[in-house]
Amino acid sequence: MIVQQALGTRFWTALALIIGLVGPVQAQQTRIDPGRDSVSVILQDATVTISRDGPPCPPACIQPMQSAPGVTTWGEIELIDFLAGPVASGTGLLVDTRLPEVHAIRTLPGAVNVPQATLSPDNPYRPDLLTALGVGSAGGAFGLLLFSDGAADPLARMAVTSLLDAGYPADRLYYYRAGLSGWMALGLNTVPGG
Amino acid sequence: MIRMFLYAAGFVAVTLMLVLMQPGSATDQAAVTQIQDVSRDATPLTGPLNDRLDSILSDQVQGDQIQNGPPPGSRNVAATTDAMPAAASSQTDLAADTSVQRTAPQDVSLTPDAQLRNLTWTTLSRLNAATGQDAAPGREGSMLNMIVRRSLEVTSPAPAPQSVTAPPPQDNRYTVQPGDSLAGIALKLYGDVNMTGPLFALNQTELPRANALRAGQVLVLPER
Repeated sequence: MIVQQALGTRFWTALALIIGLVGPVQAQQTRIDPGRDSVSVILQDATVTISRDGPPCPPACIQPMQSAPGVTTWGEIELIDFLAGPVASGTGLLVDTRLPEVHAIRTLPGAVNVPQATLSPDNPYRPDLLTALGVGSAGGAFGLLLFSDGAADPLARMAVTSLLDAGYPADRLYYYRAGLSGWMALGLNTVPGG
Repeated sequence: MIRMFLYAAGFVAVTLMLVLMQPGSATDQAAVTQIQDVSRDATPLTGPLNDRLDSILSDQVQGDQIQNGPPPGSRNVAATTDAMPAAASSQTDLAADTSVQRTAPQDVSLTPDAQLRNLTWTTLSRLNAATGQDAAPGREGSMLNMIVRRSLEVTSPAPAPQSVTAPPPQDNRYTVQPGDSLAGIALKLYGDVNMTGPLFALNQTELPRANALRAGQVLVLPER
């Protein structure tokens, strides 16, 4: 009571408002990528700030455009051409790197499910998987277009890195960064995973 | 005065509730990061590859010499679904994959290694179906080859049959006996179950499907 009288009504009003308004905004802010919470840039004489609200990063960090050196990043048009060309002729695969449960609900048309966990070096059965993908075979490795849920889902990029570490040729790997959410945002159709 | 405090406390309480109940926190993380409870593929796997697998890893294989001893004690995994050693359990695994529904509690009991194995096998079979790589069963690169190799690695760390290889058959024909299976014949005549693939491949006229094996059929035997 003594403190109240000393500081006055307006002070406490202001304090209550500050706590009430600033609190919620602070709670949802998340990182842009592992190294950055928000970015402030001084342009001419104005400061520009970029911040992010959303699911926590890690793991849902924004992925860079290039997944790995030598691996091309593609968009929707290139993906459709890839499906009509190499995948249809049997030299390419459209790979969904998400878990089977999620893949079964909804995925890109023509995608096969190769969960990222099966490509990680922890998987002792990975060599058989790589053989099935054509590594070391006479016909050469399949062209793989990898995607996951979106530009904030690290699975596809992790799969690319794992494949490169396992010796997969970089020029046979492609990265569809926009993922399922980018695909659907453009109004393109999806199918249940098979 | 007290009202100010109460308003501030109310704001803080609501904020905390919103923070804790954010949609983007715990549940999405579970989906994005590691394998949690990997369930078996509920959709039945179909196609010629699976038919061949079903037929070749039929009951006859259980009685063969593939199971070369007790499973090593270190592989102390749940006995229900993922005891790896013999073809018997491989058959059960495959039968489970082709059945329509598997209840989740069974999968929770699988070790992470077993989950990863099942996940890899499911992925492999889908890949083979998608790429049309129905490698002749037993041939390098087919699922059967991989499954059998894994079984042999687990059950017989020091395979004794290496020194006691069966002599190659004198003539290149073999008459199927009752109770024979392709894998059993390969093992009996070549001492190597990997010869199942070439054996099947060479007898495509007699065996349109691997489970068409009948007693009295005459099979042409491939070179080792």
